[in-house]
Amino acid sequence: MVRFILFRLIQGIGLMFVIAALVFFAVFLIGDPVELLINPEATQQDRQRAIERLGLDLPLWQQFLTYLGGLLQGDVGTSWVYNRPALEVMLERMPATLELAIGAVLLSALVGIPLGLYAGYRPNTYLSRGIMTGSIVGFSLPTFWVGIVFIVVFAVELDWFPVIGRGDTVEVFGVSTSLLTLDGLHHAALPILTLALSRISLVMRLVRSGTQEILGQDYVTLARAKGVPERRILWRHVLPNLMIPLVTVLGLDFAGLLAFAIVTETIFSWPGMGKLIIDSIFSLDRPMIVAYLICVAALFVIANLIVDVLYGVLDPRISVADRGRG
Amino acid sequence: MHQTSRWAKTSVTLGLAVPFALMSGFAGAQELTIGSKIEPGTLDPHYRNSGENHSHLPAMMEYLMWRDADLNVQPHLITELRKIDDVTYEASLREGVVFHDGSTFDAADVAYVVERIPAIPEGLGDFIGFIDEIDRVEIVDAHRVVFHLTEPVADLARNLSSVMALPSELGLDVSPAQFDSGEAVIGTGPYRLESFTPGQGLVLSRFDEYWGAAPDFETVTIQPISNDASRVAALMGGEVDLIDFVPLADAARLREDADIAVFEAPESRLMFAMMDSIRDDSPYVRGADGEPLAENPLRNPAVRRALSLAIDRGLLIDRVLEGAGTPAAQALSPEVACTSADLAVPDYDPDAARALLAEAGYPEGFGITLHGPSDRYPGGERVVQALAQFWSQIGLDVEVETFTRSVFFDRARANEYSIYFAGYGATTTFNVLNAIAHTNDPDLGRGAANRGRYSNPAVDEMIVAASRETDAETRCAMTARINDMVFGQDVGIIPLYHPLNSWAARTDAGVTYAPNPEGLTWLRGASLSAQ
Repeated sequence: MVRFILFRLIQGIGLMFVIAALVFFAVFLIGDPVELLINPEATQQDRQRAIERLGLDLPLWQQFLTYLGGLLQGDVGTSWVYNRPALEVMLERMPATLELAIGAVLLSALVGIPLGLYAGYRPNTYLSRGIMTGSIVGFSLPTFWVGIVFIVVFAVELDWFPVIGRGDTVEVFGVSTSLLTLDGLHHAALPILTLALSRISLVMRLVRSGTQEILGQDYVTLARAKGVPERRILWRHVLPNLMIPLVTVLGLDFAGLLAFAIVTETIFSWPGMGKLIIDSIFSLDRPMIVAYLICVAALFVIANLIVDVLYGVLDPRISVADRGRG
Repeated sequence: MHQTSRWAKTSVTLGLAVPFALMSGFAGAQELTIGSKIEPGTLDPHYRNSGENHSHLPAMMEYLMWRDADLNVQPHLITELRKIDDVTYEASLREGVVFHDGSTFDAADVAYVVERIPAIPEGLGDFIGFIDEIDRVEIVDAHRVVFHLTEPVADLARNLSSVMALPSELGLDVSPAQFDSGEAVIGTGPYRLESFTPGQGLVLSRFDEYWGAAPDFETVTIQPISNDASRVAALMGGEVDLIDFVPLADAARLREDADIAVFEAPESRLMFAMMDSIRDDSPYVRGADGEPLAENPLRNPAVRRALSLAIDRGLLIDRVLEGAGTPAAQALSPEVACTSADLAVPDYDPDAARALLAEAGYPEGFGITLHGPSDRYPGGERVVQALAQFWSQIGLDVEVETFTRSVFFDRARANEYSIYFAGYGATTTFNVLNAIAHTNDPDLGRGAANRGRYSNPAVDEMIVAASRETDAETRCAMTARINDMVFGQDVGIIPLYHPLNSWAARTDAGVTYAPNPEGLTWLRGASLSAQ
């Protein structure tokens, strides 16, 4: 197990270097950052000075080597807009995104699993059909539209929820969160719901089809023949077997939520990483963009690793170590 | 965070307070929440010369001089700037000004700022241009300094109107982190910083020892809301009292709302079509039959005039921009100093345009590709489409290509277009002309935004002469004359419109906003009105 984890970590670090190189050159191709950073009223001398100060007058390979040197020492560069280490700016925004993602995953599991179980167990009732139809609506609606509609209906018309920001936050182990204050939860409700909507549908459909498949298995028939109560069959036999595909999907989705909650964060002015990357792309803040993408790569590597480890915990038949060598 | 100033709401709960407050013109404890599209990246006032910083920082840290609503430079922390000779200026400083930490503003602070700007190791060096010619600052007494320059500067006072004062006690080693934590955000402004959280905005409180008129608000929250729809929703839902950058499409709807007022002002910016009038062989010009042309038609002033006459500026502003603009005849709108009195907005006249084209030898028109940035200016992409249609009407075969701005301006600078749409904003007529009308010359440092390469040696000469002229009136007359040459005589650049910036505020919270031509969301523009 330890060997497997180490192996994956080394693999991950290698991956991040490849990504760093790709992103560095790709961002270079997008355009001239000075054009976007400098005041339009600046004179030609001002521009030249800016180019030299940012080191953009050096040949590309030299810029890359300097950058790589910094990277090896764990320095991903200083943001040109925030005038602070890019990694620091990035980590500062992470809790806000993390709480959205955790909220959304929890909500989709808490709502999606029971509804999916029911729809799979009693597929022919009206309620089940209603649930399934609702789920189609749930994941066909685009996030940006859902977000705006939620704002118009719940915030502007009904005035139930606030539209912007995180509300009151409290510090827990040095990390600020709005999930532990009433005002914060009030602020987080709409963005979390917006993010969770399509995930709820996804979980529901996944659980429903899994339930139906498992109910047809021999061991369920045997259990029923033995007279095991239905409730015990559902909780003891069906649900644990459902967990493996579910953890895969939710685990990878969680990393996706962290990295790409961009639309939701922008609409709700949620000060997370998504909003940060959008702002940084608009101003071509290269150190910030590169730092962000490296962190996202790290997130995916870690999420994958956790999912793999959880496999082993959930299903004793799977040997994680073997997978690692293959 | 957003115990926002739904002033009306809180006072209703106070019951009796309502009529009293109304009578006293909203006096008393007041809160203001601004929903701003933009947010400063860092609070160091000498780090980035950007709209974000110039919008939200001067409420805390004041400029040495300042620009009024007509863009004229006025006394501020410097009360008088006297010219002794071309390279020596004496400045008197305002007395009785205190910083937020209680120290007094004096000559050492001015010297400190001039010393600090070039000494900041990080960043673009954005502010160096404003003080670059200041060789040294001689401290005469506590409230008098003499600026010794290395070379004559056309408008030192204007340069100083972009520079914010800090106390010399901060020293040259003050770090970016000290600004972002608020520790070093010590100004002389009417508000002091309470807190700054990137992404969540600024909280300010009134500074009671402010030297000027006391501001109307006790506390101010500046909440960044970059999404246009969310910003409007936050205003309509009453979560914020004032928003900036009202989206074109929503302005009309907000105007109809009885509780909301919209405030607008033309920006000191020219939106123009720039033509390649120096190359014989321009990359995106072709004959009516699609074959290459023997010569570049854009070199002919008659053709350029035809293109200008073909545009119905009124219709463009009305339909495409939903009214958010004023038609342009020259560098800046006529209210701004140093514009020409002789230039009128060209009348829409497609017949005259066709006749001019025929005279110039293009009765069948010619083919051209118009380029523009897709995400730089409000409504910009639609303006480009509209221009193409106007020109099609006079017989041109026009193709349109737009790029995201980072790509667009890169290519523009590499002179890859034949004709393109863009804009340029500055606080003086001269600065606009210097950037767009002087021949592009990186060595001289002029014509930075003349990416289409308009070039007239007579204009260049005049611009250089004006830049060396230190007498304000003569410089102004020369600037007006340059306008005539560029836009009247040559039609070297087609003036289109000056964009309108708008803000919206909740009148039921008593908030009004005095807009400014720089498009900045200045706290000094926000006030409470007696209803």
